[in-house]
Amino acid sequence: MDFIHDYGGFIAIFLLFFFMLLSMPVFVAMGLSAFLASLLLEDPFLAFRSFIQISWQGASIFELVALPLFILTGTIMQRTDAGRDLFEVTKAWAGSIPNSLGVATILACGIFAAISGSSIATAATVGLVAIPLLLDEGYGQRRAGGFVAGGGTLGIIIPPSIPLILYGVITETSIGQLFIAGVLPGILMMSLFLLYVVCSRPTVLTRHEVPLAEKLRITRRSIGVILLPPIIIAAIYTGAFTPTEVGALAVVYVAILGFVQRRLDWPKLREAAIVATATTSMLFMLIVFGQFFAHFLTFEQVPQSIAQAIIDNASGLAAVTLMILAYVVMGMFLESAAMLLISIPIFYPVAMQLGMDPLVFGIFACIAMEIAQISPPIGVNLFTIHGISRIKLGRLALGAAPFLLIQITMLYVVYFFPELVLWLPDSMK
Amino acid sequence: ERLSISTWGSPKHPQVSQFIPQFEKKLEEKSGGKFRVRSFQGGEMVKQEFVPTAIPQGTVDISLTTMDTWSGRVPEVSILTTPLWNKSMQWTRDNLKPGDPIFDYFDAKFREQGAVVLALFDIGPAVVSTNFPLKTPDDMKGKSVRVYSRGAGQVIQELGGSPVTMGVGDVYSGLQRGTVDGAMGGLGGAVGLKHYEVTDHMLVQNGVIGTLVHGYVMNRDKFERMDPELRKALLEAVAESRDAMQQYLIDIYAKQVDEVRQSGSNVVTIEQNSAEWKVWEDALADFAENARQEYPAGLVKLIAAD
Amino acid sequence: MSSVQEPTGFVRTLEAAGKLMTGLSVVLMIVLALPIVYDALLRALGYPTIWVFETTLYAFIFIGFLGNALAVKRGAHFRVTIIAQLFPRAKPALDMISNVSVLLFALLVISSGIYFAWYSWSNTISSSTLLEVPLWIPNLAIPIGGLGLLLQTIVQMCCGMPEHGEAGD
Ligand code: NA
Ligand code: NA
Repeated sequence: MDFIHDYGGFIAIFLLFFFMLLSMPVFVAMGLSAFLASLLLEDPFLAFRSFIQISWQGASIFELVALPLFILTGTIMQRTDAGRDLFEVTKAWAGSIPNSLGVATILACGIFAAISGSSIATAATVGLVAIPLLLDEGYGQRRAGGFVAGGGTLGIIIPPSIPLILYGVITETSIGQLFIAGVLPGILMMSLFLLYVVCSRPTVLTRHEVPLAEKLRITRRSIGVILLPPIIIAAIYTGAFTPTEVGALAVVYVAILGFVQRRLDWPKLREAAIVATATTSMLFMLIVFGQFFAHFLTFEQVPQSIAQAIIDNASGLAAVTLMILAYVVMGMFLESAAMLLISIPIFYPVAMQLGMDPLVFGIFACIAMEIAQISPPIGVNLFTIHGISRIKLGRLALGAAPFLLIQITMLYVVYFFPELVLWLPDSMK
Repeated sequence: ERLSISTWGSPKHPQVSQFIPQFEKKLEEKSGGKFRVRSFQGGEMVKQEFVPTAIPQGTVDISLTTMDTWSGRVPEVSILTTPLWNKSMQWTRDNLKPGDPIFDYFDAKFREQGAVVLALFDIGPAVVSTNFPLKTPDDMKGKSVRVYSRGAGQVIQELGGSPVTMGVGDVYSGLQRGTVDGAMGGLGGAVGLKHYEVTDHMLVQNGVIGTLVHGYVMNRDKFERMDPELRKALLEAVAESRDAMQQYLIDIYAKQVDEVRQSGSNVVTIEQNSAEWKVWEDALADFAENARQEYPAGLVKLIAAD
Repeated sequence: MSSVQEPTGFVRTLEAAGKLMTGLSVVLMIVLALPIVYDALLRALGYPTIWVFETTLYAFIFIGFLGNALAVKRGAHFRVTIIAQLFPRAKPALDMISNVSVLLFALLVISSGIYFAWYSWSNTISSSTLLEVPLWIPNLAIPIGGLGLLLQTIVQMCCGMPEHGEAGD
């Protein structure tokens, strides 16, 4: 009995991975594994009551209300041709530098990232418009798909960001501060992406010389969309509104803009809401039962003992490298929200022991989620691009590989230069 | 005997830091090491607002709790946030213990709900950190003030302000950005989270608009099924640790007020039974009268009698 | 299992129940932003409401649980399908294991949700806020959502599963 008590948490972890391999939905695997393990330890009725008590506690968190709002903002924008608008603007300004259409693609991803909280939405929205043009100009499937898959990951580091909301909820870190903390690393990452795209070979030198007047005209036409990112970031930065309120205002803003521009009608709004509801429910179930799983592990003191073992046996750099390796491996098989919910309860105590700031580790984890999204065999951005372009998954994975290397570099950058993350949120105080 | 203990809020708050380590040590001594304790901090197992279901359900065995969060199950607890509750921390230290009629009254109510009250204590009268001068009840009119509980919200409403619900973590930036004009809460939290950095004034009201009675509660079934010897050890350990913690809270209160004053904040103190005190009391007189009608006469009498 | 069959009357009934839940959750999704914007604007003017915070939270919980019927139908719930990709012959068996596990889990969610709502109702527990909402009302989202999960999974088992992430209304 004592044996089971000492290893109950590890039994749950084993069951979780076993169930996931059996292809059970991840939220079911998390809920069932922890519940079955708790049946081994406790009186069955107590296990049953704790299951629902903890799950309810995981569901009734006001900060989570921001999730459906940012998701809906994204799905409405997808249906109002925002991707085309953005791409027109970035294409007009990218001009005559090498690989300018690729540069325009990354820039469009960066701007859409500042409206959407999801990297799939970012990759899909920009990809639909950009990939056919990139192919026409001779970038080849590998690069065309890779640019969009990689650029799409900006969606979750540049605020708003669904993984950062989840992280904030799980660790009780201020979501507003997390959002602001993502701005500079997001811009740095986008710059590195741009650098790679400009330098990538063979260079495509199609010129897009657009007269200034024309640039301004195109920009003005899309001004409603272009203005949204600075408004969102400013609203959060100044603290005038909470992230949830910003999400609600963004929904209303894009809906009104869509109706005024006659690009949105009720059927499209309904379709946007349907997609957003399915995504919300998927995330919600993961969050609720993921937190149940995490609470079970905490109760069995697994995270505490893993953190202790790592700290006792590894230096800071080694521990960070160990975490990065674990994330890269997990990222091969898991979708980002599931990965976040499984990993944070275990790694957060480690990061705190290493002296990382909660904001820094939030950004660190968020970049690790990006790796998950573009690493094969399970990379949702790769699937998304495959779905809209039919480019082979293997080719996409190769095309996204340079972005993956940049992200791994960024993980170390964030660990060694926490100021990059903390400077902006600190200036809020 | 396995025992899980859960707390929420800052682990540095004396209600945690001055209680849990002592309690664990005394438990060990008094039971001869028969308890295997697991303690959880910062709401990692049960968050503050879920204690009233989690304890009766047995999710954890013992938890820190505010009395006010039980208002959804034991409506009588709200009397502790009305002007009818006019006890000082010193009074609470000496009296609000098992055997005291008020303590036993609440314990009986909690037992009906599946929980046992192990200890009650006063973490100190709430303070109001504001960005507007606050001396008299009139100053509160039209101001939005963050509150920590339903009872505090009613008081703010009664004074003509607008209560705002907001997570503890957002209060600092809320005050700084003017999302709210002020925040009402425990002095320990206000000092710990440095609210004085982003506010100009603080009202130390010494209880005329409410204090913060917290406690430790335990799952009733677990308590009753426990070996009597161990139960005795547990109760002794709780009582001794609670007394020491309550004394610590009393000692530190004045020091924390000084800390705020030294930061340059304008601190206004309402001394008990002063003229200013009377003004606040009068502003809440109707509210107190309503409360007197609303709560069971027996309980009102018990509190008035002591 | 994997070929799409003509739905029977029984399955149609289940589908109708799923559609009702879907409709409700989609409507909540569309209106969710409005009270929050209303509250944010009023607060900026100095008149915060006391009801928005809590009601939008409960609406969100209903969206999350009731949206399950839709999420199952659209194949939105994430699964690790690596084994099925490596051994395509094992796919029917794995799909069966997955579906049965979802059914079992749905039963756990329904029964514990009913217990929880009953517990809140019989103990007359309300939220400890100024609004004092009886908690059994939001608690009901759990068993209803579990039911949606159960019914739609049965429909899926009868009529074939959607490909992962496939959109179909
Ligand atoms: Na974003
Ligand atoms: Na991956």
